[in-house]
Amino acid sequence: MIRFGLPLLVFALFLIEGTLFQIFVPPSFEREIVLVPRLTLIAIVMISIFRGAGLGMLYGVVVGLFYDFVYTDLIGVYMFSLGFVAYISSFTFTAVRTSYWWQFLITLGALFVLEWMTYGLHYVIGNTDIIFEEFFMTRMLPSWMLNGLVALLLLYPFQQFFHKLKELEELQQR
Amino acid sequence: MPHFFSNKRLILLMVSIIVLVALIGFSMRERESATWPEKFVRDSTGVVQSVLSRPAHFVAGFFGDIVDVTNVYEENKLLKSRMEEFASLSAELESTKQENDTLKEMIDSKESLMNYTTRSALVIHRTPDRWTETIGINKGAQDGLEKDMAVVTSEGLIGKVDTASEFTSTVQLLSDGNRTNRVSAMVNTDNEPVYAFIEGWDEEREGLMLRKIESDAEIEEGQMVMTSGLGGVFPRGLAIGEITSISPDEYGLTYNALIEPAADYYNLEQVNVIERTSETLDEDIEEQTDDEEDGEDGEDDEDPIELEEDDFESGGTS
Repeated sequence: MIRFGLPLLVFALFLIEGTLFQIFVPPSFEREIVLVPRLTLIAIVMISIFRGAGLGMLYGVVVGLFYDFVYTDLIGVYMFSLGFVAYISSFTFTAVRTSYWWQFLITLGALFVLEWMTYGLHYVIGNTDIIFEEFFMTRMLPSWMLNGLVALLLLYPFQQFFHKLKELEELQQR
Repeated sequence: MPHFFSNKRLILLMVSIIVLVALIGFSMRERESATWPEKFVRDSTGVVQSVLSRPAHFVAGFFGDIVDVTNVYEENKLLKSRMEEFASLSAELESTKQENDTLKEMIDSKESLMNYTTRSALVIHRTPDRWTETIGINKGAQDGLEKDMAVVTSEGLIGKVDTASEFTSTVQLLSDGNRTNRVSAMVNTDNEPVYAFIEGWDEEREGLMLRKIESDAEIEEGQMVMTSGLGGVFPRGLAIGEITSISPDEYGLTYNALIEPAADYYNLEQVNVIERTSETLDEDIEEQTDDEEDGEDGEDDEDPIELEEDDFESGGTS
């Protein structure tokens, strides 16, 4: 059962991003900042850290493809950037796996890379023409604050989840 | 970051960048409909999203109601003052409608660009990253939705159907910055209506841009802008917004205006998808376009933008 736990969890986070978050925190006309939830990214970074680069990238690419299909009409942007972010955040050392703060820092780094990559791609395509400073103030900083806060709350349950998963796998191997 | 620049990984990176460019190039094209994997993923997530969004809208609406209760008194006062105005307006509307009907009977015209049927749909998601402004609704091709149909709320036009899968569709809002996002509109003046195009969102001044207004047109701030029904499948007379400022364009040949939208593009729950019942303006114009483009068969194959411009010219002069 726990085998299907991880895909279901990531799918639930994916739905929260597009449906629940948008209903409860609707974007507003006057607000200067843009709040973008990146819950699946936090999950993918944690998968990369605890399960290795391969599985992390698989999740990154599949979730990215879903994101492209369902939310944006531009196929490839999230598929590539989430896969890439999963790869560069796969610090699989024991020191990182046991340290809460290392994971938090890696998540912040991954957030920056993802936001910057998607901004860059949309800039190149011509969907947006805001300059980097504006992007940094209206999107990057709010994204760090919102998703950093969520990461602080989510990282611990994720750690517990992966530890439990590992214990179960060791039990099965015996 | 293990062995980032080893050969195998570098090649993998190259290949994925090529795939990325190819996929973006493919999806940037003006596509008639989505591919089947897209439709499949959209429909299957759409089922879960519909289940999820109904109670979520309910809960969010409940909290919204609590906020509303606090200013009920003020609102009530305002509404009461408007009540009398409303009574006289509705009487006037009724008599105008009757007059319109009799006049129509006199000239034997049964169809009008005003006629349409609506289908209501629930908003099931919204693009979270906000680079593009699209929403998803829980009605699709099975319910009769097609590309480019108008989508409205009770306040006015909000956008058009971008792609229709079997059970869900995505709607491109008017505030989307895409270059292909244009709607044929008209300004209600005292004399003849003035025709122009809504072309996306002005990020700096926060409003919709109404472009290509003829320089001799008599437009003022505060005038209402609505759909003209001349292009594509939009009916005539859906409210878009109000003109807030007018300026000449970069060449000085036409005017641009900034529109404050009538509808709220943000707190969307239920939307209506509109299908125009009458197919074309009238027979003359249909014949005219047929003569011009002999070889093209049926309305379905015609390029929507081309049709817009043809209709725009012939509609503007008549």
